[in-house]
Amino acid sequence: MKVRTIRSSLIWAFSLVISVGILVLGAFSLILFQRALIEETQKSNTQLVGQLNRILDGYIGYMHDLALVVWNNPDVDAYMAGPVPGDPERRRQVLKFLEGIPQIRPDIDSLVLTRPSGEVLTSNPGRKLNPWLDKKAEPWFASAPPAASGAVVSPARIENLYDDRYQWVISLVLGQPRTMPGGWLQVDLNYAVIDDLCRKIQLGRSGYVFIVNAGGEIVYHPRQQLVYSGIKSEKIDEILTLEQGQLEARVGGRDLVYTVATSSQTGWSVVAVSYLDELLASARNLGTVVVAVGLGCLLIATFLAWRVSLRISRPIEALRRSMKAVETGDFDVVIDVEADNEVGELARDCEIAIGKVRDLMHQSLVDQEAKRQQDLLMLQSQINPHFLYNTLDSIIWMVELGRSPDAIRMTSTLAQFFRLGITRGSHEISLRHELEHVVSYLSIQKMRYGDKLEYSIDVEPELLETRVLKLLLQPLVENALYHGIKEREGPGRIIVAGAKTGDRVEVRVSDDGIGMPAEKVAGLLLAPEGEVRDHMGLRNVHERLRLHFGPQYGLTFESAPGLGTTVIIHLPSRAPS
Amino acid sequence: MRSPTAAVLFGLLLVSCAPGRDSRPHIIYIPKMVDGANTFWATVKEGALSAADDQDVTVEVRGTSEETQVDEQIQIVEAAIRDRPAAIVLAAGDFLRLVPAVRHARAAGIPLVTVDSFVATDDASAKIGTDNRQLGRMAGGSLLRMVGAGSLVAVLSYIKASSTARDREQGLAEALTGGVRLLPTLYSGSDQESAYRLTQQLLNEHRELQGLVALNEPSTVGACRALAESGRRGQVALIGVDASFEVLKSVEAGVLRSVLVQQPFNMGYLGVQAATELAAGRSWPRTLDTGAIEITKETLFLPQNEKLLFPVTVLNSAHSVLKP
Repeated sequence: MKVRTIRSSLIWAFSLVISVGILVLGAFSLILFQRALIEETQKSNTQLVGQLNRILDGYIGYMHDLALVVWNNPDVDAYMAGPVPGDPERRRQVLKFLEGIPQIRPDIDSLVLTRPSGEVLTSNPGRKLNPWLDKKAEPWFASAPPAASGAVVSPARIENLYDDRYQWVISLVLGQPRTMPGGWLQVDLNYAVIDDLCRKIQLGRSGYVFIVNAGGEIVYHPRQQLVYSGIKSEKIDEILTLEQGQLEARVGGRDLVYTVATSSQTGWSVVAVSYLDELLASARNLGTVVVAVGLGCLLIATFLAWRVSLRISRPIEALRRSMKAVETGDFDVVIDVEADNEVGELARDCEIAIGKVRDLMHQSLVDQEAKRQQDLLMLQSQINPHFLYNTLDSIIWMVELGRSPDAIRMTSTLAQFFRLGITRGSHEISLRHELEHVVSYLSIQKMRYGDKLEYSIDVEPELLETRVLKLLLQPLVENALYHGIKEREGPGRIIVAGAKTGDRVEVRVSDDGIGMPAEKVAGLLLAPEGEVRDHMGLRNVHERLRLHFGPQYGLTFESAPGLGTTVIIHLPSRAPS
Repeated sequence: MRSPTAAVLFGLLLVSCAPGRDSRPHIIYIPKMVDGANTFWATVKEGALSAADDQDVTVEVRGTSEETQVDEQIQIVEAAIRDRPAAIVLAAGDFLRLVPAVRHARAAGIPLVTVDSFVATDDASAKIGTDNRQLGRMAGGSLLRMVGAGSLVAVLSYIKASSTARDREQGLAEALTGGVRLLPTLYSGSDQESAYRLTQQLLNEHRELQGLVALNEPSTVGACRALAESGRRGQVALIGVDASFEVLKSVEAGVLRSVLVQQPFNMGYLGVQAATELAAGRSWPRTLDTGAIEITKETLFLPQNEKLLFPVTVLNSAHSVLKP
């Protein structure tokens, strides 16, 4: 299995979370933003076309009202119905009335009153009429209703009424120009009014409004010429069918939204055109920002993941290296981990554990060494060969003198002494055994020295099972004999006594020999090795006690010159194991 | 270390999002003349500016006040090349003399679109305007519908050396050859007065004349005046080219049977559109005929023709076409 580092895992996790988060968030916000934009545009466009329609209705309504006012004017009415060569006075009054209207309302370009006879009166009597005028030929008149029932409104058209100009107007006609029963009245609204109104409206960068009438003819379009040349097209049929509302279409390779409102008064449909690509341009900007922020966050996240993982993995790596060193047996390694987190704590715990292991290892080594030394010391404390030589010499001597029973006793005691001494097994034996061994030693010496040596054993029976070391007492007794008793005048006495004090057992080996001055006592255990063999026995015993039972145990001395010496063995009062 | 890095990243983010300055392609449009009273050129300009709005480019108009200032126009083109626009739209004042300037534009890697009037080189990136031969053929076809086979007809052209006149004459000849008896071509020098006199003379010399084609606006106006005065409007079918107030009045009066009208708005519009496309590295047809429309008394006030003949936005504030 491939090992995946914490670092790569972290970086992957961070990147994934950030990418997915940004993607989902970005996509959602984009979609919502786009939808909101389109809805907002549709709402404002609906308001716009509605408002535009009301304004146009206002104009057309005004033209209609104006037409009715003129039509119902008593002078006009009388003149229209009057004799064919009209009354000049009345004609003058009608002309004056007509002339006054465009002066009040400049957006009304002209008023044209046509009598059934064909006589034409205009609000610009100073202007020469176009001699080629043929009103009846104009197609938009076809549907003109009788004057009483309403009026007809033209699309934007060229008024060629006057000889000296062509004028863009929207015309409203009252009456029936085709048949002319009772004549007819035409009101021309200057097209500039509508053109200015619509041209100012810009929707987005290149959106616009246009107006078509119920017949599908364009009333206003900012690119009329393009529409007529076929360079530009609009979905006029769909718009007329729709009458009111929204229509999405693809025109000229661009997606757009038509917002249509149709006036019931004029039958004109005002259409707002908004291009989707322009609408969504800001959404695209948002998309760019989202992507940029996403990439930025990704970068930062990767960087942070890298840093964080370093903070974790670097101490772990150090710890791992240290543990590798420990594996190879280097328990003295220093775990150099500087981290104030869990890894740091782990490292410190490891350090403590390694320390413990190291101590244990050390202790084990020391113990091994101690054991080894103990064995060595015991070997060294083997029985003084002089003792064997002297004893054997005594036995020979007894046999020569024919003291066979003594020789036998001594020989058997010697045998017992050796049997006790060579017993193998643990170093620890009971005080009882050790005492037996010492007694056999003392009884041999007693046989050799006779009255010169007295001895007694005074140990409380409950102490007999105390664990002591093999060959513990014999060297002390031997010392007491050779350096204490043997040097004094007259008989001497050796007492081996045992007593329990607290958790200790003290076994005292006392003699009433020559004793020692205090400075000699102080040097007993310090004397350098190999100088005096006698002292070596003491040091040996002392070391063995300390090694075996611990440093708080061992030997102490009480001595006074001429009075004797007591060696005190300090032992733990342990129950027999 | 962490926070400065984050700050730098954030800064980069802001910089990348910061709005730049106006980076829309800049197009220089050089017409034959910038006189606002000239309906034709005003309409071309209107088309160009409309296209600028629709295409999201900026259009700057640079030009001479007279159509005849060819040297000045050459200088304007050279200066425009030095300004390194995204593209140039040019209505060449001279077929031959503008050739070096057009070549310079090409050498500078600036797309140059010729509109209405072209140059005698293939170095222009695109040609947009009326196919004058086709216009001549249309005029011929129109005449043939009005006069019988074998009728005597005359042609009133304008400048012999002009490439457009030559093309129109050629097209006309193609249409008329074999159908009618053709008098030698007359040249008005693009002058109304001269056209008027030539037509008077023609009408006097050839009582049996049944058809006359005037190949540009001044020639048409002059011919109309002469024919109207002669009182032979019913006998001589007059065909004209290019509209003006007087021309349209003559159509209304029935003096001018039909007039062929070019599409200046479309020239300007398509010229800028072509320039935009070429500047963006997209393809555009090398030549584009914007076509012509035949106007008669019957079709003069049809809505689709009204928009062409009486362009709203180039009219004066009252939105009317007044007698000049």
